[in-house]
Amino acid sequence: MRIKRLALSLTLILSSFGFIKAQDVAAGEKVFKANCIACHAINDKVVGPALKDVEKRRDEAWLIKWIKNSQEVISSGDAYAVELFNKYNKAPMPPFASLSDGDIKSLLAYVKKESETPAAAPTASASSTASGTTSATQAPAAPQDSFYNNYTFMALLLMAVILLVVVIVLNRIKGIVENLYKTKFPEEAAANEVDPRTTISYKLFKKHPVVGVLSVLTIVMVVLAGYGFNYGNTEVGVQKGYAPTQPIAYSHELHAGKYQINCQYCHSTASKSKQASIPGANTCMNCHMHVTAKDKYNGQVSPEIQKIYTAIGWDAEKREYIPNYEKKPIKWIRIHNLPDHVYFNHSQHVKVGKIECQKCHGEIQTMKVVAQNATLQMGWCIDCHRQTNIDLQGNKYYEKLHAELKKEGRSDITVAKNGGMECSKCHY
Amino acid sequence: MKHTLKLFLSGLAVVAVSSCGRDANDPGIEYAPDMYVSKGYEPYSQLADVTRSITDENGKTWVINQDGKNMREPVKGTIARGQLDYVFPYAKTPEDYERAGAELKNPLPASEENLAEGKRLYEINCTPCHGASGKGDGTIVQDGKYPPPPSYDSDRIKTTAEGKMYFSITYGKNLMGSYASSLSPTERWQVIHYIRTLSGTAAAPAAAPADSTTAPKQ
Repeated sequence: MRIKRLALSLTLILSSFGFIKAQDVAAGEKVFKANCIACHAINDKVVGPALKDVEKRRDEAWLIKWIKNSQEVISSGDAYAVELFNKYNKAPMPPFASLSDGDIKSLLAYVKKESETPAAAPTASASSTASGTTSATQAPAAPQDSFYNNYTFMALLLMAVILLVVVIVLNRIKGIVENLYKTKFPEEAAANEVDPRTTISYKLFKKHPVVGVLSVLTIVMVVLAGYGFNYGNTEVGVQKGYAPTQPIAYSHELHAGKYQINCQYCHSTASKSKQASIPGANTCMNCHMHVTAKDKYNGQVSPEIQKIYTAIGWDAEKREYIPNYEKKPIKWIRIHNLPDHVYFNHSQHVKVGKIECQKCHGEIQTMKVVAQNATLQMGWCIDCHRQTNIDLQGNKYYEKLHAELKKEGRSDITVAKNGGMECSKCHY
Repeated sequence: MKHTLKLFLSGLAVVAVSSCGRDANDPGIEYAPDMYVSKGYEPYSQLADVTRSITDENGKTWVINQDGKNMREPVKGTIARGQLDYVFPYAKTPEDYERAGAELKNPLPASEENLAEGKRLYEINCTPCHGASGKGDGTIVQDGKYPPPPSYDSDRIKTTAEGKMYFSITYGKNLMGSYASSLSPTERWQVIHYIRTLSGTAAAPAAAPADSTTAPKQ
């Protein structure tokens, strides 16, 4: 009986202890996610050190003091604190005076529990994301809808070849049959024989050779001219489908598609200037200071991301910029290139016209390698100017025009009607 | 018969020759290359010959564009016209962070126009991490690629001075990079106005003076 009671109370104590501990960990997780996660991780160095086994390095009282006001600990001359501060580029940890001792104890319980958990979970999720990306890699590349580069054309070509073979074979058979006919029935054959002087080929080439040769030449010229016109119109100066291999295998599909990063995050001057700027490596570093894709490359920095680091001089191990580094700008290859005799301004279209980037550049968010989507020919510009109505509603730029249109009782006007077809608007 | 056959064959040959698809790395034929790769200095082009030089009247040789860049770096200690508000007399130190917090005030009124522009810029530059609602739940954070930044409606951010926010946008803070190259000073203040509405500490919208979109010159 006594032993039973003792056992019961013991289990009660143990279970309540376990319960409190679980609660602590849950509360600690909350504290961690609300306050610490922006700069700390359990296993990795982020802005501040990895928190794994922190309770083995420092005692609880020190940690509480440090978390509540780290600067105070440093200025008190604590050797460990000063060394830590200097080691981490003198980035001060903000004081968390609002956290109670209990909060910090829960937090430490959470960190202890996480430290003991082997870091297996992230690898599993990493491999799943990795497989996700590989399946994306195998997705077919955007079809290039060139006239000569599709299955319909290939099928037609094949059929033409087959028909040609059939014609040749039939021709041979016809010849054989005719010869047979001539030898078997010479009289009938002679009677059916057409006078060669009545055929078209005789009249053209034997009787009037000049006319014959000229007409053949004319036909050849017309065919060649047609071909030349088509070539000039669709190939010369038309770079549609141009998809050069860039110095870094940057995927718009991943950044603009999966992560939905706005185009203007990187091309920040599209709404302010003629050019939609190519981002500097510092823009890449906004994320890639932290995102290294190490989980997909056996703990190494992704070779493509490493190219950014080489360009800007970032030491991924120490997580700092290499002092006095000679930067090597990334030489991106320009895709859309208008000749000098045309003026095009991005801000005019993005900010005033409120045109979506995709309207001209195509579904960029699905492109692993960017290909030029539009022909950039004048007809293409003009077509759009003819069809597009100016967005007048609440558009400060067109306030005056809007007011005048209202006077005339009209509510819309195309770009072309507002001077979008005048030569000197784009050519000067 | 023979002639039609020949015509057909030649036509076929022409089509066959041109049917090869173009290499993705080949931009194709340019009808006037000088118009595409112009002699004038265009944005995002680089001088091939960085040794080109001129000699002045004293016989001294000056190399044009030593570094191959088309754009020149401004002379040290000078400020370009209209860029006075780019002057930021604070160093990237914890002390100056505090000082900026105490000294800098948003020079723009919280007008509808500034808030709308702030929202547009916030959605372009900040949402990947901070999320559309400012809770620190952007697309990159949700995917686990990035640790979440603090939520704007947390007590710590609610009480953060605007000057500190401006300092952080300009220099970056912790894992956040500098946005000085993407956002002009005026734009930074517009974004701060919008962030204030997200954290619920916005000042009441003020009536907009005539030139409310430009920061007053210092």
